[in-house]
Amino acid sequence: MLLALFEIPLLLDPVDRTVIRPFTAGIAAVSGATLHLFGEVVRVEGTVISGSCFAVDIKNGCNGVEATLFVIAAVLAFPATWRSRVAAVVIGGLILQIANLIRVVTLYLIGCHRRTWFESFHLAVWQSIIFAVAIGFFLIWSRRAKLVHAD
Amino acid sequence: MLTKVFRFAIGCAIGFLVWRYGTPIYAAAVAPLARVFLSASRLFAGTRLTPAGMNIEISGPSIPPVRIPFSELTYNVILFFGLFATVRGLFRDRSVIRFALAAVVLALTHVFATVADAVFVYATRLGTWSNAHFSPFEQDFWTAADYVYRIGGMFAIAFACWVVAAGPAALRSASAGRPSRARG
Repeated sequence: MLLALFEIPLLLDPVDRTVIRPFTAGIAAVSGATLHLFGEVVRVEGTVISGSCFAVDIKNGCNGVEATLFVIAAVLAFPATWRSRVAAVVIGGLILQIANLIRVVTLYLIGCHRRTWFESFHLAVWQSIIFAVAIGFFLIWSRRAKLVHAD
Repeated sequence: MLTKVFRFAIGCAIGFLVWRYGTPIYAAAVAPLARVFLSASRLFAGTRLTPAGMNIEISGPSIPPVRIPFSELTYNVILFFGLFATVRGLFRDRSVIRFALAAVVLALTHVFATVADAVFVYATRLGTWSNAHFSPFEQDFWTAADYVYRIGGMFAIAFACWVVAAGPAALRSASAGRPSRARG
């Protein structure tokens, strides 16, 4: 329920225009810079990363925000101290953004070099991995947060 | 901890294969159930749902034909299999029953997701036909329902099925690794 409550505002145009799109453009810029490090010649325009062999448009669902919201909802539902919760959201968000950066970069490379694999990786593999990271982080944190709470 | 990660990865790989190659058969099982719920609405009375590979085709006497991407509604089975693979003694009697019950709950959510996605498509994707049959509020409602399910909700459902079915002990053991400093 909390997750649904957090996700619905993402559908609102002002939220999308002022928060989500600029944030996603930032992800595209960092992903583009990372691809440069791997020797790929790409151009970044807003949320689109394009090269001579492929182009990806990072949309809602591929920016890590949804998994971060999952962590926030799970952390809020868990009986822990607020300090512990804030730390979980910050650290969890960072870990998820690193995982998401790897997702965007690898999806671009898969699109370039193994086009037939792209849809499966884009839809099923990476989305599952991102949520696995979110769940794994929550499980590890909740074990420690419990101890903090008991103390 | 590494063993758990390994088991999780193996479970996800099995889940991926089940999803990739089992979806056409699964669609044939889900479509008749989804039809029952969809037909409850007067607009969708007499609707037919026909599995077509990874998709489901919908047609009926009072609605235009559409195709919904069924496989995009069900790939949380990958995470579901991965999470259950971390449960020790999964094939023992009680665990198997819990796994089966969780799988039934997950399948039911797939039925509802199919219905919701179908209504979402009819409510928002057919231009003047959509506007003629659905109010702006209904269109917003079905957009939100489909969005919440696809962007995270489906994974939260798989996670909840695992937490409820596997129980707190499995939850603790899944995150168990080295003893934390706080405890030492």
